[in-house]
Amino acid sequence: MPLHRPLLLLTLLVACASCGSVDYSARTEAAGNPMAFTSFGVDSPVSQDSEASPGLVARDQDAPKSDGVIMSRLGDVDDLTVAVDDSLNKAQGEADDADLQGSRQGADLPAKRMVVYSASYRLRVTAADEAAARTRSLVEELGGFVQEESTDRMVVRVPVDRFEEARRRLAEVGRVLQHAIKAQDITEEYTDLELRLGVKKRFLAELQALYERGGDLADLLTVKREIDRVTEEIERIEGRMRFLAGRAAMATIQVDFDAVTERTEPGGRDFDLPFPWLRSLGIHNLMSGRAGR
Amino acid sequence: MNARPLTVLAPLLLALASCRAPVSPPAGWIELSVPAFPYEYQYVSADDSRLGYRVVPNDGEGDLGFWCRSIQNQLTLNRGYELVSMSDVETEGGMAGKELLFRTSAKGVDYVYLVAFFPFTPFLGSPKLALLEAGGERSILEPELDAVRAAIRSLR
Repeated sequence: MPLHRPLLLLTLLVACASCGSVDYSARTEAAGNPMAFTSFGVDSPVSQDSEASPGLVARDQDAPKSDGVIMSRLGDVDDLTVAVDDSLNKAQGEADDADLQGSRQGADLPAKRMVVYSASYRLRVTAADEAAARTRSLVEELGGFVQEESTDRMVVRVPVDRFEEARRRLAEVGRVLQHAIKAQDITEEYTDLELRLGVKKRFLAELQALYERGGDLADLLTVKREIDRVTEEIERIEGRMRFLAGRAAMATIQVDFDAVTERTEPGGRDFDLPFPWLRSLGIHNLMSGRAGR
Repeated sequence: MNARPLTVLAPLLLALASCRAPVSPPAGWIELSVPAFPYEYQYVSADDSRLGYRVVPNDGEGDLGFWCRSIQNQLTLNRGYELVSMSDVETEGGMAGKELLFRTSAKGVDYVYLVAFFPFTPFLGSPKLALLEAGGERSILEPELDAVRAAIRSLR
């Protein structure tokens, strides 16, 4: 067997393995289009199965599992009730604790993954307030909302199926100085919650049956207390599941506006000599080191 | 004479020469092992003042006056910087350049920002500008400006 064959196979294996990386942040100095999802070897939210419910990202079973970092500023605003895919919402909680263990051991990953997408942009704009107004308008047009806003920063949420469109249109608000895209796979946590929910619901049903059967008052009171406790746990689990589904349904985009100071000369044109390195001069770039040559 | 040793040695010597740090930083400053983009060398003080070095193309072989005016326009008209001073500068090796000192403020903090540039044409290659930028909080860096200027003059 020729020597180059095993080498070729090894290279292919390494390439396949490296495709699993999901932390695919990137930055660009070039104006215009930010990198497409496909550049990173992961499915774009837009390229997902259009039948998939919001919040659930249809991906192959063997799609790379991501543990990307989500921006710390995302906040906990999530009152969204999202229709979650039936396949994930089906109660698998016919099991008791032993069943749960068995389910965990035997359970394959769900057919659909839940992925939280987020992106960040730093845009060079002529006026931050105008850029903010444009951003607000386009986000609302896409069915999203503004989560946070300050003089030079906005954090917006957009439906995940409009994420790519939002990114494309945001890149038109100003000149993209830097951008990054991140993903966080929450399938495992969601599935775990789902299993726990099933178990708790089954336990609750048993407790309720016991309570309805009647009996000694002291025993009934104990059962009632247990019912209250389990009900509270179920509500907590359901709340967390709604929160996760909301996170997955709405992508988060942070936009930082790097405003060019207004010109002092009335009616003057925007000063922009064709030497890119001139634009990277300044204290901000020197201190942060984020600039183009 | 056999030309072979020369063909091996010359690139080695060139590589060694090019690895040498371009300036001697002010006392107490250190060189970052991984300079932030787009700098080729970067130095930092314990008080977070910075000195960056990079080489940019001297398109059209602009002279000192052209680049002086361009830098000034870029920073004053587009960024709102205030030009404090502009002066000739010469390195210890005799390279002539210009130095522009600016002030600006961001989020309530006053900064000083100094740019010095030196046109040169490498032995093999197109005309370039050696660009040195120093910046930091005004209250911290201003007292150190003489040391920074000495570092700039040490450009080789």
